[in-house]
Amino acid sequence: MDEKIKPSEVHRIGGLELNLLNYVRALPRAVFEGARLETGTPVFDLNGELLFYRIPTIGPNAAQAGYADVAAHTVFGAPLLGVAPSAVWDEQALVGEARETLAARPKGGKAPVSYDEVRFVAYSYPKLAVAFFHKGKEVNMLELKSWLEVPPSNLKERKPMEPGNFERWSLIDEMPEDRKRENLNRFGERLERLNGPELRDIDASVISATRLVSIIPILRLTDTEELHYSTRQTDHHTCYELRGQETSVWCVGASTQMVLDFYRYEYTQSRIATQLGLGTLQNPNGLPYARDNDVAVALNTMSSGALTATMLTTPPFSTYCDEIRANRPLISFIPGHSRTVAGYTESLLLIWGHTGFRGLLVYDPWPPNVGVITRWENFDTQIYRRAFTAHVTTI
Amino acid sequence: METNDSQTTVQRIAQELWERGSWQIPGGSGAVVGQAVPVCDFSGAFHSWVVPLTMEGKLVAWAQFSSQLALQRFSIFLRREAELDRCPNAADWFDRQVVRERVIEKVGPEADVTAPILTFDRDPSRLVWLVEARDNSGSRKRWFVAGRSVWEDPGTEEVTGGSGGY
Repeated sequence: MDEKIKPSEVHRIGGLELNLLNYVRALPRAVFEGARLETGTPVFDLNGELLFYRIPTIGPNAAQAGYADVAAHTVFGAPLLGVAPSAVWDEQALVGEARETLAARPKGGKAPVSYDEVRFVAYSYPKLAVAFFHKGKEVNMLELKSWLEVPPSNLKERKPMEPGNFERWSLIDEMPEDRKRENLNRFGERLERLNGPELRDIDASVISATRLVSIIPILRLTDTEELHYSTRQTDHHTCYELRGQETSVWCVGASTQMVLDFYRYEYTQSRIATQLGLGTLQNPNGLPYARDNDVAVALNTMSSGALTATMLTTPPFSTYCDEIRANRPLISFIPGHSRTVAGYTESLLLIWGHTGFRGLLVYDPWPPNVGVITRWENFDTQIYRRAFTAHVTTI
Repeated sequence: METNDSQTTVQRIAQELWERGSWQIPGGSGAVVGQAVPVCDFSGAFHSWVVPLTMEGKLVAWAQFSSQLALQRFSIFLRREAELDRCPNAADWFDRQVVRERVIEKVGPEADVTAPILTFDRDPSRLVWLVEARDNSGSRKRWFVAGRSVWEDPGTEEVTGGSGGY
């Protein structure tokens, strides 16, 4: 997927998101029902890339009904950045104020600043400025409404993403690559849902809950998957078994046993403990953090090389989803403990301002000799340290 | 929020979630939501709430809520209908006297044993009761109890599972 979203697409997905918010009454119905989306103002990142559009909405009584910020770049991880229901956005008036401020500045005997292009720039997202360019080169940048000149970047003297109070910085350039990748995936997933057959034919330029009424009942409100005997789920049942840890410290052994069991490699926990160096039933021990990767090695060795296992550090929610969709369980390390993951659930119709519930189906070997199935573990309240994926090596 | 208010609130939330079907227990539709029990962290400070769901004296599920009353996890012991016998006894987990007696069995009746505190071993999902025992020589040991399992606190080194156990 491309990181840049086409302008025509931005307008449509912004309209769909606003329609969904209006439907769930997250927006004031009296203001938004029947409102139309106007042409948006492009807002650029400091590096010159298009970042988002600020789209004014006009209510049914022809008065402006606030505005919405809709992403034009996947760096945000979600299309709808914010809605300001009672604010007024007047692009022309703001540009006029900025021009007047620049013209009125003391020149100190120099010639007036000349420019051939004016842009809105997120100089420190979400703070905006009006920037003036001459032949593609910036000649001045004034913070919106305060009209103070935005000082140059200070990146060399600080860490990325930790700017001062009044400092320019590029969201796209300073965001770590792994977070950008995660956001790209999340953005792609959201787009996929918005582009689904149920919403595809909606006229997104008008906000109307009454038009959505007939469609909402057939929308999937959650995405939930669990392990099955095969990926053909219609005629196969859930296929995964819990194993309680046989000592107070053998959570890693029990987790490894669950995954090996899924692939029909039947070992006792004692045998797995021997492989992982976890001692004996009478004198057991856990797995030191420094030897985490032994789990990947054990999965490979104990399947005679049939399983290719990989250790991941703090993987995002999407990694768990991808593995479960491929019908593969994962081992999940949290601080001091190991469990396996056999399913996930996620709210699809998100309300702006909330992440929506993201949960994992956890087969937890704790408490000892019993174990417990957690349906669901709130992904956003748990610290995840490692995950181990395993897939059958095919020719 | 006062702890008592918080306890009432968390029980009400749990009851509502159970009654409206947000939680499912295979074969456990007759489960009853029990009293919320506070969970402490290593320092003894309040950390979270655990709400048991029981049926015929068996612990069939529990839910854990953060101190801000956000649901952290809902976990089931009863996995299939007619497997109620395999579930832990509710008393093994939520009767402090039963927990205390398990430690006394381990350390002997002459030891001085503290009241159990519900806490966790390493991660909040690993619930345990902590009981301190002082023997005749005056030496103190910390014991963990999880259902019928009893072992000495292994400490907090960076080891997944713990550095030693039973």
